Amino acid sequence: MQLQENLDKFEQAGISVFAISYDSVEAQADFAEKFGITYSLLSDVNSDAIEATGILNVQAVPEKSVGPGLAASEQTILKVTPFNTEKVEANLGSSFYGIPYPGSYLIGTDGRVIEKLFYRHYRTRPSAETVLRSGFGVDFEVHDNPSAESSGKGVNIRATLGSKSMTYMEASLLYVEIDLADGLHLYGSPVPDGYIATTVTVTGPESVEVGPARYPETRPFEVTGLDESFQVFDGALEIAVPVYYVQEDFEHLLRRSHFLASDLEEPSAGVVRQLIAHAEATRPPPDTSVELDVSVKYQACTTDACLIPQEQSFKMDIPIVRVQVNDSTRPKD
Amino acid sequence: MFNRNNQLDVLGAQTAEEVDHPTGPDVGERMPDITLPDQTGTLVNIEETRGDRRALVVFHRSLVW
Repeated sequence: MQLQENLDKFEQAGISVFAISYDSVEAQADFAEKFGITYSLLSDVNSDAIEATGILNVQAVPEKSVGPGLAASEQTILKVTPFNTEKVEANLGSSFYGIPYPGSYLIGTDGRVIEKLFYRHYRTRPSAETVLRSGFGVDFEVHDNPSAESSGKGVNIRATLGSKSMTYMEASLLYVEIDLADGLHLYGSPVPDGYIATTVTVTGPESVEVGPARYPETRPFEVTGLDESFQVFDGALEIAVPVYYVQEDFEHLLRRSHFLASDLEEPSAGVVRQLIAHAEATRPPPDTSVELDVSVKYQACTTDACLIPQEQSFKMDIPIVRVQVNDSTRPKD
Repeated sequence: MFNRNNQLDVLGAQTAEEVDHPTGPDVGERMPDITLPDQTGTLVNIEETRGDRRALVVFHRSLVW
């Protein structure tokens, strides 16, 4: 979540930050030193807090190894990209027991939860900047975030990413702001036949998943001389589109593979190590950026007349940052 | 201009029903009382430490693997 990078913004907004995991104090200290973490890393070795919070992962149960390979397990897990799901067999070893379903809680001044963030896929997490902005309503200037603009007649469009870059499985929002000249409005759904509703479409390469766009509220509007009623936007509107970079960093994948291989017995372990060596030798260079195509379709109207439907398209270059990875060491047994 | 407008659900965060597993206290409820050692070995109580400020509490699977 790149919390440390954005810690100053949390502190300025008067928000305390706590991270909890079942790792030992030593492991937390090691991590803190390696990555310069100054916020609280709390060690829940017995998973007491995890359990008290009600998010102990009860599917990650201890199993004894039976013969070569991992323990046979009836458990299935959901293998997901953010918007697709399939069930696959899980082979979770005993070292996984005690983990939580990962997620975050935003706590208000009165100590009550104001928002909680859990995702289908355990790897997904929100970007720190979007938590600050969309979660805590902290407004801060964004000078460095990737953005692009496009102007049409009376309609100015600006798209800004809610974070400086994208990282594997980090949920970010692409904010598309549309500023309308006085007297102009755009149609929103539902729209009568023959009229164009404002639609934002974001596309990218295979490594990027795009979620459904979220539109703000419209207001009802009557057009002189027409029977139909319309839902419109006017003034300025902001549409948010979730985007995720879903191509796993090869280094990260290799580290995880090494870790998983260490849980296997021979000859499986040897086979996996050979596969890893091959992958290491043939891996593609990591993305340093991706290009997103943003397209906005709309029809602008005044109270008396409508302009012809328009489509404004532009591209955005988004830097890709690699996931911070701790060295592979075995978790507690 | 970044409207709040309940955009967290746009991040793909799903409700408890949608994620198929429990997700702990709901909006409006309190977290349990949590006291745990931090990376220096010092015991930290979340409520006491945050005082009357807002807080972000993140549960990781592991920092190690």
